[in-house]
Amino acid sequence: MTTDVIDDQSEHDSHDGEHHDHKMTGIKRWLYTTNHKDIGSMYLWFSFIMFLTGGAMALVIRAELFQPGLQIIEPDFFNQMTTVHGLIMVFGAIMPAFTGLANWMLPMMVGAPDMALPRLNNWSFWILPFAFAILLSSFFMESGAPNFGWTFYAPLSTTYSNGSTAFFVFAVHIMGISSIMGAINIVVTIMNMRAPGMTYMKMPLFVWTFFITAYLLIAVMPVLAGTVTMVLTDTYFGTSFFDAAGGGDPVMFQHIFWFFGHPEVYIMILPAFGIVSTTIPAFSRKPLFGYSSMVYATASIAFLSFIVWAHHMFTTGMPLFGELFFMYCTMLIAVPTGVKVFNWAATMWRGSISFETPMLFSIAFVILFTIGGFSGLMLAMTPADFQYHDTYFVVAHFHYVLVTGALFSIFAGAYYWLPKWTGYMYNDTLSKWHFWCSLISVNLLFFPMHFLGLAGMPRRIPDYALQFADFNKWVSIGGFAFGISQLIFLVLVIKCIRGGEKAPMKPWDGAEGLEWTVPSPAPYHTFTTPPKID
Amino acid sequence: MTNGESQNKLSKQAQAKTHDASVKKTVKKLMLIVFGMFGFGFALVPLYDVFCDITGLNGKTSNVAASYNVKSIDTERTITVQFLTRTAKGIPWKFEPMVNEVKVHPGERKTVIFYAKNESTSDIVGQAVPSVSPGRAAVYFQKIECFCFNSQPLKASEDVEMGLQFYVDLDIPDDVSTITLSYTLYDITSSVDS
Amino acid sequence: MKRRNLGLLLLGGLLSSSVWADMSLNLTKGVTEVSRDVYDLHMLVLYICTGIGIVVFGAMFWSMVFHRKSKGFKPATFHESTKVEILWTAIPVVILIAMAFPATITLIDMENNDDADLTIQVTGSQWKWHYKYFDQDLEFYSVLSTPREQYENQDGTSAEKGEHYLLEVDRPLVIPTNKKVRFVITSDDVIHAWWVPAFAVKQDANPGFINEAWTKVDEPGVYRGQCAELCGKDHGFMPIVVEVKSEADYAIWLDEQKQMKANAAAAEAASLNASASMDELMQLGETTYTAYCAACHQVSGQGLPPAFPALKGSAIATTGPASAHIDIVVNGKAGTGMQAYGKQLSLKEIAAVVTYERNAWGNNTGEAVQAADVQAVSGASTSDMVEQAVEEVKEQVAATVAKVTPEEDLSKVYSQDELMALGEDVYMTACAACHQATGEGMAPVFPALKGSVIAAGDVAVHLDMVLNGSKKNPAMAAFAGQLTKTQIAAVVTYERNAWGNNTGDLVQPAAVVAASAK
Repeated sequence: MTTDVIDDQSEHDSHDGEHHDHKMTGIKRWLYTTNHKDIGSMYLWFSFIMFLTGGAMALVIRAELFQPGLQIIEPDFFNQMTTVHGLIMVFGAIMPAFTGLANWMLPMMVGAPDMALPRLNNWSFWILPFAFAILLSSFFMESGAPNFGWTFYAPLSTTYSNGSTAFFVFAVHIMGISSIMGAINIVVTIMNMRAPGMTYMKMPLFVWTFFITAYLLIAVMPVLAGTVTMVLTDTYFGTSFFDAAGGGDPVMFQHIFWFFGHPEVYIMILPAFGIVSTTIPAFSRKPLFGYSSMVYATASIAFLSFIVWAHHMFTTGMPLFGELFFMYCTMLIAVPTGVKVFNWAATMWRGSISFETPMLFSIAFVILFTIGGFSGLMLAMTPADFQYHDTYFVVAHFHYVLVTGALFSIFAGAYYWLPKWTGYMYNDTLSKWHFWCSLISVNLLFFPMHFLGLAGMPRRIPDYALQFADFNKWVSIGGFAFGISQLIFLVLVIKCIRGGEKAPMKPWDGAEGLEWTVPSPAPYHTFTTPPKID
Repeated sequence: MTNGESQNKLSKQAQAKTHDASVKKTVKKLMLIVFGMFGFGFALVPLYDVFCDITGLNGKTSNVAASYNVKSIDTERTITVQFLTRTAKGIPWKFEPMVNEVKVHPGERKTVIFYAKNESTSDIVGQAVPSVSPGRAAVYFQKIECFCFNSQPLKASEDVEMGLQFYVDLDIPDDVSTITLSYTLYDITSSVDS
Repeated sequence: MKRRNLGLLLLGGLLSSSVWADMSLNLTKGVTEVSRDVYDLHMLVLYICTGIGIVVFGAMFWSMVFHRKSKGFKPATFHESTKVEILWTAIPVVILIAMAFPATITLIDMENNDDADLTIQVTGSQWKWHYKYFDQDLEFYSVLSTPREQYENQDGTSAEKGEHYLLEVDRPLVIPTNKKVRFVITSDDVIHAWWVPAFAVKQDANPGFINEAWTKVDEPGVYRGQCAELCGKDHGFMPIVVEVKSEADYAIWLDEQKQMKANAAAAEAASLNASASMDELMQLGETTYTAYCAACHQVSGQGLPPAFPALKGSAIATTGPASAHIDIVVNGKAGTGMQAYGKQLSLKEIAAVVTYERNAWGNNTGEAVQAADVQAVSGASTSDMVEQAVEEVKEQVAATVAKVTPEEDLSKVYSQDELMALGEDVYMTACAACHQATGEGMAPVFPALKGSVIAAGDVAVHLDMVLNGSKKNPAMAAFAGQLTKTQIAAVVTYERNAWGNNTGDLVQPAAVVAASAK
């Protein structure tokens, strides 16, 4: 910032930068918007619609599994349901929800007027609906939707696919491009747009986690793009990356896929850490315990995520040294993760705790995510993994991490910032109903799955032996209850947008951060002049 | 506009310019990572093969003939080598080893014969794909000559005896006493034609 | 009223399940040393996690109860403590190292596939398992045996589900106790995983590559598992059943299998020259179709396009030549779900199923395909097959009859009862595969003995046939080197007096000695 060469061009540039200033109306506002708040809202709505779509598919699965026998759907359609449910929840619900939160909150938290690349931002959102339109359109094709699991293991997704591979590959490509653009935007914004005086170690932990997550995305989404491209050429253009007949190796697919896939898991959980690290101090009225160790823990989890991928593949026939290496590395992840959980508990310790809905979801997050972490540790033990692998124990594990983990943190964040977004307080009674119904049903839904897995029920099967019948029934009931509970949230959000008790600038007395220094609802443009940070 | 204000505006413009430049720089760097990682995804394919060659990760044996220049034979040790065959879907060949297993000393040269017969009424090109278990033994299993190096065309109802000549390296780990070699036979007629 | 009924129905549905088999809540201990080690490891980690959980969650609940704003608790202001942070980084590391020890030891044990007593090649394919005993010349497919009507309940009907619903197969894998059994696992198409929880063995079956696993089971019993890697439509319908038998029982079982194999080979050879009626073919075809084809092509023949094409009205099953139709059934089609059934079904079954497909669902081609037509496509010549059947029988005889060779007293004169009893035993092992237990044979390759010229005619001719085989019919092997003189005497006596052949002739060992001296 030492240069003092000024010319007309730069003046022009800075005017150009203002061009998104005037707000259009109607559909054009949303199509052409480059405003981070508009785009954030669209991301959040899109992810919620996708969440309900993917949820509906989960309910089809649970309805079929309500009792033994094939009552409702064919096995092949069952596989399409599990596959598309997984894809939608990962790429359509959780990830866009986080991107939406990032869009809304990051500029406000670092004191920037907008994201660094607003037009790119518009693009990265608007290609997303097309990706899912392509994916979902395959249901109406003769081939049917992808039926090879969201992990699309070759050769089931290549030589033996039902013809939906092309739809799948193009959809994933577009999702990947969208994610990469979003991630670039986040990194550039954080690196260049911070208010003067906000050093890296002064950034809110929320910003830190998104910063690291964005780097993970930039590093691994291209690898996913490469993987699906290989699947595409194997299926349609006669290459044999994954076909033994042509000198390829199907196990290599899994190595490349999980090289993307494991960091992907952390892409879906690190932002959650950021959210609860914001809410827990706010409602404990006490600063976050161990801020810097939180940053280092997040960074080391991100680093470790690159060297543990093969723990998804212990049964593929790895040599002993490989199994040992990946087992030890995986166990190591428990250390930084443990640090985080201890820090949250220490933040609450001797705080002045109140139980507003964001706090309820955050506490549920810490406890239930930790349970997911425990089962993760069990899965890391290679000899035991031979028994757990590909059973409902794994299903229970990652749903604890992703539903009571990632999703609950998103709910916590949504409740926390809804007053800032809409300018109204949400209906407290409804929110408590939403929380308690979700909490009880989600445990009824996922806890018995641990027992099903231990008793030997494989995942991804449309029908099961009789001894699994009792538990599956309860799981299905929990599933439907959880699904219906989410409609409460939908009603609550719509009500909150339309009116209610006026929200003050800072509705939570313990909250910290720049976003609470602007009025509620946050004006269309915030921090056009950067705030000063001491 | 006072002088001070104008000065202020000028410096703001300067800041905006450097800001834009640093944004561009960051974007460029990040795009480099993106393309780099996309390339890395594909680079993993040869890397994986190299890694497998060194460690025998997936039990793949070398596709190149080994030369036999062993100075001694370790008669103290005996390794059992078992042969398995499997024909893939859609190839109507009979394909089996003439012996199920042989016992060799490390360093000793051994030849085994596999029998293949095209039982169909059309000409077919087959390709045998080897796999060795335990994977870590793959590196020590040296093929001097193998029918799996090349594809094998057979006319309708033609049959052939195919040879495999191999030796087991002297420095094979002590705890390996059995090596299993499996061949899966694939029909590659269509890819040969085109 | 109606609504209450619905409620009752739901409630009834919820409670009724309690009559179903109980499910254990924990991981199985299994029946091998490894599986018990795995169980111990599982319990160890579970206890440690529970302990940590109690401490951490306890602290959280403590602050939730006592440090709440509504109680007027004033917040502390501390926000870091290097000492505490180092402590709770170090303690988990120590705990993890403590867990890594038993895990490493168990893992090294699990991966030691060397020095196995028995090797079995396990091959997964969509959607069945194939087992091949490495040094036994024995192989077979193992397919789900739960009847379709038990699990296809889409139309609202449901047959009573059996005890081992979805966990039962037609031919289980059989292994002996106390032997180190090594499994070499691979796949014909997509990735499958062979999993038996009681052995703690789960290993992926990768197409084109082999994987190893091993087990050593202490207790005889039947152990059930399932495929554990998504492998397409019927992934949930390819169970694994392993029957573990004591070593003695295992040996008996092996003999039985060889007998069965010999019988099947003979039946196969016989079916070549037989001509089955359309009705017979259609009937057998329908059963075979339901068992092997209907999963993909559907009972209605309409398939599940595009992955599984319709057969109803399709070119291949109507206008196309029968030979092409047979070819695809026998050899499968590369790169599709269509398997090669040549190794799974008998010639007659394939003939029947092709006939069925060409005539069912309005495909009325009117063509009847015979076993010989199938054989013409599948390559092996008739004489090869007969030869193979004879080989099977010889092997069988060598394995079972020779084992019980008693000391012979060639001058001894046996009573009719003695000869008949011994003769029946010998006949069942050495002859029944071809000539059938009823003596009616399988014309024309394996002629009937009941009321035959040979068995009723000259004893010398009969003896010569058994000792030296037939000059005209290669299917009749020479048994002089296979059976003892006493056994031959007994079996000839049996053949001349059983099934109403009542010639009353008794052939003594001495006569056999005389005949073979010629």
